[in-house]
Amino acid sequence: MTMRPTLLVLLLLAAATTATGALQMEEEDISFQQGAALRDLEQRFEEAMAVFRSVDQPDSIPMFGDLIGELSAAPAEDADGPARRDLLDRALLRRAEAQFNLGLRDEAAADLRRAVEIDPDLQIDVAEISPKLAELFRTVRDETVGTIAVTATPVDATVRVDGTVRAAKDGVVPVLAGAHALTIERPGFDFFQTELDVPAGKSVPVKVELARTSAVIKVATRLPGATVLVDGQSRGVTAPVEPENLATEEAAPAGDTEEPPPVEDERREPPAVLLVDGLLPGDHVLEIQREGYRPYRAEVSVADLVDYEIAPVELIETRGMLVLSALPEGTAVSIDGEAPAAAPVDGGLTLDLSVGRHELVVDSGTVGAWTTTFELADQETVELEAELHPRVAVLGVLGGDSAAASRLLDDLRGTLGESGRWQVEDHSDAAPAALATLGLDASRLRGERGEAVEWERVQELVDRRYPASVYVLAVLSDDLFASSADLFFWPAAPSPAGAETVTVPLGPPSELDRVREAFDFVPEWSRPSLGGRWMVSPVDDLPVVVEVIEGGPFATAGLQPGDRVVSLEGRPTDELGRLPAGSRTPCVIERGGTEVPTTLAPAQSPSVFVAGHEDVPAAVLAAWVTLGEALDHPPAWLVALNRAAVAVRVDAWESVVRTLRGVEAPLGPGLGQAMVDYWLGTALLATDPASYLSQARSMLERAAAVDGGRLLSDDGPLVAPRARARLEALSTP
Amino acid sequence: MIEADPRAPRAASAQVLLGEIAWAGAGDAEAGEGALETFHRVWTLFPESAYPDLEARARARVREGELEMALGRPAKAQAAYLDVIEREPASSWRVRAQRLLAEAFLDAGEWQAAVESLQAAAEDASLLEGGAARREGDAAGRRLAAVDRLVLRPLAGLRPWTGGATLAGVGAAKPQGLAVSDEGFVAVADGGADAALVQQPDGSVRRLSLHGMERPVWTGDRAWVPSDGTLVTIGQAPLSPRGTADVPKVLLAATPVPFGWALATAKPDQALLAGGDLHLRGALALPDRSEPADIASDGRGRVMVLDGKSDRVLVFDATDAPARVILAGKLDKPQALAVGPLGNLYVLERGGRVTVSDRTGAVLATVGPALPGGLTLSEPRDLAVDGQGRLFISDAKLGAVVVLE
Repeated sequence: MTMRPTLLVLLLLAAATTATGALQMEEEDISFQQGAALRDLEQRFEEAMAVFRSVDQPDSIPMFGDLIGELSAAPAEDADGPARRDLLDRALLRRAEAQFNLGLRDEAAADLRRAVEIDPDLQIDVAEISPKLAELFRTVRDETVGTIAVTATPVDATVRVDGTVRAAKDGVVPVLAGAHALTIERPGFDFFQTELDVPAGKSVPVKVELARTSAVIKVATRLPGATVLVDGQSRGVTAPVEPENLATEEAAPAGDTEEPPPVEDERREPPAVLLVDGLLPGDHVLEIQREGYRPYRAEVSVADLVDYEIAPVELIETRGMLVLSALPEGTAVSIDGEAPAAAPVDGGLTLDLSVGRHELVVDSGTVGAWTTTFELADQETVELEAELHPRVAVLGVLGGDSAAASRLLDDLRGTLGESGRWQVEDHSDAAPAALATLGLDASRLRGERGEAVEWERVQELVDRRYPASVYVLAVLSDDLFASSADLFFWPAAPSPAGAETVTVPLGPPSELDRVREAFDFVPEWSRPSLGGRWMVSPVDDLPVVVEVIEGGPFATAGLQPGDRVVSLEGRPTDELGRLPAGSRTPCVIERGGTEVPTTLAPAQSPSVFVAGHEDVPAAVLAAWVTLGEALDHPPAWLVALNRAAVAVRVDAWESVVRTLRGVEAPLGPGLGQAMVDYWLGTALLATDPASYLSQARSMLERAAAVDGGRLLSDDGPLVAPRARARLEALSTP
Repeated sequence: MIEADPRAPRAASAQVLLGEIAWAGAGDAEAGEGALETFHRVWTLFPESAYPDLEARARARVREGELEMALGRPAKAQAAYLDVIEREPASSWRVRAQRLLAEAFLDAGEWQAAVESLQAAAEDASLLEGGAARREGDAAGRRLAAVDRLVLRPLAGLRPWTGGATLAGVGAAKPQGLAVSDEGFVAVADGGADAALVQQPDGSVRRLSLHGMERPVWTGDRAWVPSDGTLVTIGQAPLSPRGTADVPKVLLAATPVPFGWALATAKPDQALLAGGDLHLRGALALPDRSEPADIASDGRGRVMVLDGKSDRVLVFDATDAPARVILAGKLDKPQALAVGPLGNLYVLERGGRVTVSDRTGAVLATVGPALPGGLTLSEPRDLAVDGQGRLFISDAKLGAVVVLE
């Protein structure tokens, strides 16, 4: 579909503030209206023809007259112009015939004259009309039209009369009698131009032999709109027009870097063409450029002043590769808002993309998400490791004090996103209404502080509608003059549903410092281990070794309980705990009044990082467990212990049991199966001591039997004394 | 889900208070069991699932543990403390549970586990606001000092005490009987001035004129001094043993035991048991030819009697248990006995030697009469050990209380 520029401009003026999509819609509407109008005229012509063929033929004259009037008034240069002109001619001819049959010869002659003036080359089938009318037509034509008899060399030269290309049949071009400008031209040849006075009913002969002035190359590209440069000078843009009857010879591209691929698909659109003339013999550099495609460059050697044609150039799109890795299972990827053709396989995805800047969104549901942009150059490979961030969904601020709600919402969004480690998503527009369907509103949350809320249902709803790792819902203390707000935090499944509440006074954003600090939390799946316990002596303020675990760093350094660390790297210190894993630090210990030099080399210990962070909402901890599991792939037993620690935090003992049952952790000393068994036993007792007493006892017995089993890390609290205490308590009446 | 009641915090606190009142008034184990039931009811009525942040529940459970300990069921006590530590949110009661669990570990010889628990208590306390948490944290710190002094330093070949000095501020002319609280505050029976001197937690010294004073004792933040057969404390009516016709005239020493007191009197072969009001309700089963010179307890239901006649210590693992004899033949004219924070026994001999043993009688260390710091005991009368293992000895001739630390 095309539009006349005038119309388009009018449209643009009329709809200056209209969106692009709407504008396109209007263009289509107008085009449709034009087509409909033409169809209506055709229909009316057929109706007039039916009358014309009937006994009531005279009645068709006003019908044709109406049509002629409308067609004459319509613009002739729009998309339907040729069809309208054809219809006008036909209407004029039929009215002329009807009038002629009624004996209205002059009126008939006038219509025929007008038809010939519209199309000097107008032909009618004399077999269909009366010989007298045919005679009248010939008379009118001879009084109106003359011909130009063109004999041009080369024969495919373009003939224009008054600027309009005229196809000459056997070299004869009918024109209205009178003065005309004639041009004859052909790329690579001289330009011929003359003024002619053509008498009616006469033929004016013109014989022209154009002189060859340059070679011509027919450049074709599979896609239109490619700019063609010869010797660095732009020569135009290829267009989907194919000049006919252009005699060509083969030009030999030389030294080009890329051969255009052979045409494989014959059904493809005809190539877009540009004829480049003005080329003199010699070597020329031909370049073809199109945005989004690699530039084509070839050297062409022009031997003679003839026409050349090179095979259609298949421009190759500029493309780059994106290699994505570390994608958790079930992750959805979108590039510039669209899903790529390929899906991730084994946590990786390779995409062939156009060059330029792209927006990448990695969406792993309640696990996390990552949004980033990247720039891709032609033939470049960009490798990106998905840096998923946990998502925190702000579900809204409930309460009637809208000014306070608005401020708190802004502050929350800012505070939660401040660390840059969370993807903050605001659902405050829609979520409150969705939560209200579960009866979750300000008055209920204020009254019960969420204690009687069915958080499982809430969790199920928001996981489905607003998937995130952590959900935040604020409730103002008052509908009119709120002075504080309760912030309810809860995690996505599979972490136990159930919200924790933080109360913040409403005021400057600094009041949300506690929240910001909580969201600054950094999980550590492993931590440095000294292979024992130490404390700063209250007696002499020196670090003193309390316990040495066999085979651990303390033992390797030869330390014993009671040893005092006099110096680390030559300086007194009480910061033994800050030595990083893998480091080697010279130290001096005191034992029995003697100083002994040694080296401390902390090892790495798995860590139940969730424990001991009561200032961080359990939901935040749960989010890091889930994300860490997906990205870092820690051992399953360590994930289970951290997940259980979240459940312990919210007293979800059944969840602890479900999480730890069947978990197989490393046996022996350190963090491992002993902790699993101890927590399992403890959780069973907390869940239902009457029903699970023997199972709990069995778990605790296993835990108590592990010499050196630890809680939380390889040098955490001992399991066995605790397990023994619980066992003895079970045995005590 | 149990429907949450917004009045729960006050109702739970009231329930705990009822239990504490019942315990304070309990004269025997049976009454103690009643108080235990009151505490336990808090856990039943206010479960975690409905009331996740109820501090009164932690308080009740800690009280349960303490009461279980008094009732001689240490395992039950530990389980109660573990419940609070592992299931309750941070509070001064959780700090207390950690500290008391450490005490239980220390009693069981699990001193390394005890250190972990004490460190956790100190760390938790440092993150909490309020005097209760600070006091519990301080107590944990004192116990860590005791472990360092009395366990770790000896393990490294170092003496528990690095120096000695006379205690400033008390000002006793002729100190005799001596007691110190866990926090290190001192009560001295000054025979020269016929006055009991009590150094209060605020640092001030209060005097109480008394005759016939013997060995004082601390219970909580209060010092009691036997005087003419009664127990006297500042600001409270004296307690006199009563309830039998055979009340001894001279009360030598008293020590707290669950639901009451154990008393050493001047009467040979007799150590009495009394309720909280000193109403006599029995006696320890002393062997023949014993003459109580001092009496002490370890806070875990054990009572130790120093037999001045047979130069030995009699250990009663419970007040109704038979005596175990320890240190027989290892003491020379012992005259005073104290129990330290780790349950060790300290026996002061007339010659100025202090023998430290565990409760099985294994000698761990001796010190004196020449002390670190250059002092020498010449007429020692009594000794005491505070919560961080500092050793206090009163010396009548030096006219001072000597502190080893």
